[in-house]
Formats: sequence, structure tokens, C-alpha cells
Amino acid sequence: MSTPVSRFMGRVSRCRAAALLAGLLGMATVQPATAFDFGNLLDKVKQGDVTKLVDVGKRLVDATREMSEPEEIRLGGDLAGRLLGAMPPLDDAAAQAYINRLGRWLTLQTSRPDLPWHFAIVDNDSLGAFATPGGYVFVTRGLVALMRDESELAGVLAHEIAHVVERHHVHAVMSKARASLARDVAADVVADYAGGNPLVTQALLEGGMNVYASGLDQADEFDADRAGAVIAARAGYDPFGLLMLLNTLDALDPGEPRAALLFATHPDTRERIERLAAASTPLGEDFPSLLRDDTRFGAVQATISAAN
Amino acid sequence: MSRPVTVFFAALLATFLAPGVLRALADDAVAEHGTLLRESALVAMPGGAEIARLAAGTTLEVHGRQGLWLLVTAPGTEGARRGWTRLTAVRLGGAAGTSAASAPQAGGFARFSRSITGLLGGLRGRDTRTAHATIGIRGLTPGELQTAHHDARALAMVAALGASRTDAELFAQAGGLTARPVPELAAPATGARQ
Repeated sequence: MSTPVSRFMGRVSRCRAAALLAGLLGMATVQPATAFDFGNLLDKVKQGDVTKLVDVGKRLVDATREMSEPEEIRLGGDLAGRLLGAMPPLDDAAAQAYINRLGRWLTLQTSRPDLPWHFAIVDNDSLGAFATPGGYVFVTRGLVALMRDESELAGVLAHEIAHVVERHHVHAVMSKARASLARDVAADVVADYAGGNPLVTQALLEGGMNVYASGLDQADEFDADRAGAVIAARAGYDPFGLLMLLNTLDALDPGEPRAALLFATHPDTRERIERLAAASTPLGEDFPSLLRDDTRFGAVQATISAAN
Repeated sequence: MSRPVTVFFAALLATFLAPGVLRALADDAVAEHGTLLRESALVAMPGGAEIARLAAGTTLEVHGRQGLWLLVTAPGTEGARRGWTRLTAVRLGGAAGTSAASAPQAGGFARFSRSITGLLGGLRGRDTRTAHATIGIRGLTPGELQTAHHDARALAMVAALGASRTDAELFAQAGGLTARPVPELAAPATGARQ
């Protein structure tokens, strides 16, 4: 989709890439191949093959292009398929319908309400939640079982939705893939993924799973904590659901095996609590616990716990 | 009996006994326990006047929550004063000295204890001092994620899940949820503390 903003960003990217290329040509003699194959570029300059140089320059410019929404959705599906290979969806139609209605209600409060959102409780005792680009959001059965009420589930889903809306995983995955393909000056990750290039596809999926195994940038997690609280509040929930669940996580033994991946891939829990509470002060007492009757959450929690 | 077996049966017994205990406390429910992380004021009402000063490490009984404030009693202090303290000053999830056994119990316990509601809602009855056993449970590992194979069948099942706008709006309506305008939150200055 080409909006004035994306067109502007496209121009900025092109300017940046052009400046980068100019800089590279100037520096290449003292700094051989780091991000790109400068040697190859230099050869082309020496050969006076201007056409090829322009072509390489264009590929460099394209390599910084933002992934389009259809490509983002396809990447999200590919990554979701792999995540589900490690943790299958819970076989409970009522629970899955419940989380999809709740999740979709939250997405209606965001700037991307019409992505193809799919939510699922995954059959795993670990404590975790995952989002992939384009709108897949998973939460483990173990984490749902630990929650006090629906506002905590809304808080976790809203945090994951915020990652999707802000394209945090897209940026992280593209960055990893570009790093692993850096020596190939011709790699235009977006175009080659769209065209089905197996090398680029593999780099993107491996980079993606690496992001789930090692975590996003900490700043993205703090941002998603704040943005998630806002989404939950806009949906009419107590905005402190995530904060309360973080308190529960903070009380766990640091060596709790079910939380090992979550702790390893997120900033320190106490720091998340302090930052989120400080940022949430404007919400303050205007938002007492709003949802009084959540027997439906209790029913779902009971069935997924019974499946244990 | 070996220790793991004893722990297992203790956890099982606690799971069945706890709901009754909590129901008995329902009139003046202790929803959870907590420990003060730092010296803090106990105030008469959220944002109100200080009525006592509580030392770091004080054990608290938590009765309810309003926004970023907890309604607590400090049973070990003079007069066992009751009042409000900031949520961020409290580590929920167990009395002092019981940290090893105080991890909140998942699943069964949360389910059985749901009948108790904190005074102001938002805090569910849950005695986090209950021993819990993680025998045989291990978490996902980074390696499992990195070596996971694409599961086309599971993906097709999840891709078939979803909810329409109307479904979502009916869900909200049934839960008494109304959309409201809320401004974005600015990031606090680094190191900011409540």
C-alpha cells in the first residue's frame, strides 16, 4: 500500500542508500567487505561498467525497502507454521473461539484492525506468548492458567498485538536475514522472498526463529508494554492486567523452568513493572477494575487446566 | 516417602483444601500475600494522607486493588494497620521467607480459587504460599524453536480460526466492555520510579 508516509519513507530510504553507496565507494580502499561486497563494487568501477554499477546501486536501494503488507502476512504464516511445530494449538474449539473474539475486540482498537488476525491457545506448559507478522498471536496454556482474570489475558494479547501493529518482528527478522546475506551484494530480501528465492526464504525463516529464541530488542518490549496497556484500556479493560501478570511472573523462582525462555527473551521483569507503572500514571485511578463479570474467562481457564 | 512424592501429595491436598479455606475468609478476604520491596507509606486512601510508615521486607496481606494501589494489612506490625500502598512497592506472591515455595500455582489452584473476588475486583483469591510442584514440567528451549519444523496441519487449523467484527462486538457487549478514547502513553524517563 503506498501512502504519503510510505512514499516519503521510500524517498528517505533511497536518499540514505544513495549516500551509503557514495560513502562506500569513497571508503572501499581502506575498509574491505563488511556489510556489502565492496570488492565486487570496486571491480565494477575499475571496469567502468556503469550500467552494472547502477544496477547494483538499485539493488542496494531496494534492499532497504519496507516489506509490503501481503509479504508481511506471508512471512507471518511461514513463521507461525514453524512455531506451531514446536507447540501445537490446543484442541478445544470453545477456548479457541473465546480467545479469537477477545483478541479481535482488542485489534479493533488499533490502527491495523483489518489484518487477518488469528489467535490461538497453544498446548504447552511453558509461560509465554508469541506474535508473528501479519496477525498470528499465540499464548501458552501454562500462561493462561496463571492469570487472575480476563484483563490479564487482554493485557498479554494486547502486548503481542502491539508488536504486530508496530511491525517489531518484521524489522528484527529482516535485520537478521540481511546480516546473514550481507556478502551477497545483489540480495534484495523483500523482492527475493516475494519471488520465492529459497536462499532468502531460508535466511528469513531461520532469522525469524532466531528472534523467537533470542528475543526482540528490549526497547520494543518496553514499547509493547505501554502500547498494550493503551489498547486494553481502549477496549474497556482494566489497563493494569499485564502489570498484574508481570507481578505474578516476578514472584516466580528465577530458575522456574516454565519461564526460562520468557525470562531469557525479555527485559528484567521488575524493570518492566517499574517502567510500565511509571508510564501508566496518567491512566491512574480513572480506571478501576472495570470488568466485574468474567465467568467466561473462568470457564475457559477451567477447561484448559483440566486438559493438563 | 521420598521428598518429591511428599511435595506432590502436599500440593494435591492443598489444591483440594484451599477453596474451603478461602471461602471461609471471604468476608474479609485475603486475596494474596506480598512483601514490601522498599520502605513505603501506608495511606488512608489512594493518594491520601500517610497513616503509617512500613519497613522494607514487611509481610502484607492484600485485600484488593484500585488502579496502581493495593489495599493491604500489615499483620506483623503494631496495630496491624490497614490501608493503601503503591502496587510497585510490593512483590506479590508470598510471605517473606517462603520464596522457594511461593511461586504462584498454575492451573488447578487458580481454577478452584476463582470464587473469591478481591474487595474491588481485579484480584482473585489465590494463596500463593501454597507449595507447588513442577515435577516433570520443563519449559520450551531456544533449541526447540530453532529446530522446529513447519506444521502445515496445525497452521491450517489456526488459520481457520478468527472472529468477525460483529463477533468481537457481541463479545464485548456480553462482557460489559465499551470502547473508550485513551491517549498514547509516553515513555518514562529512564530510571523513573513510582
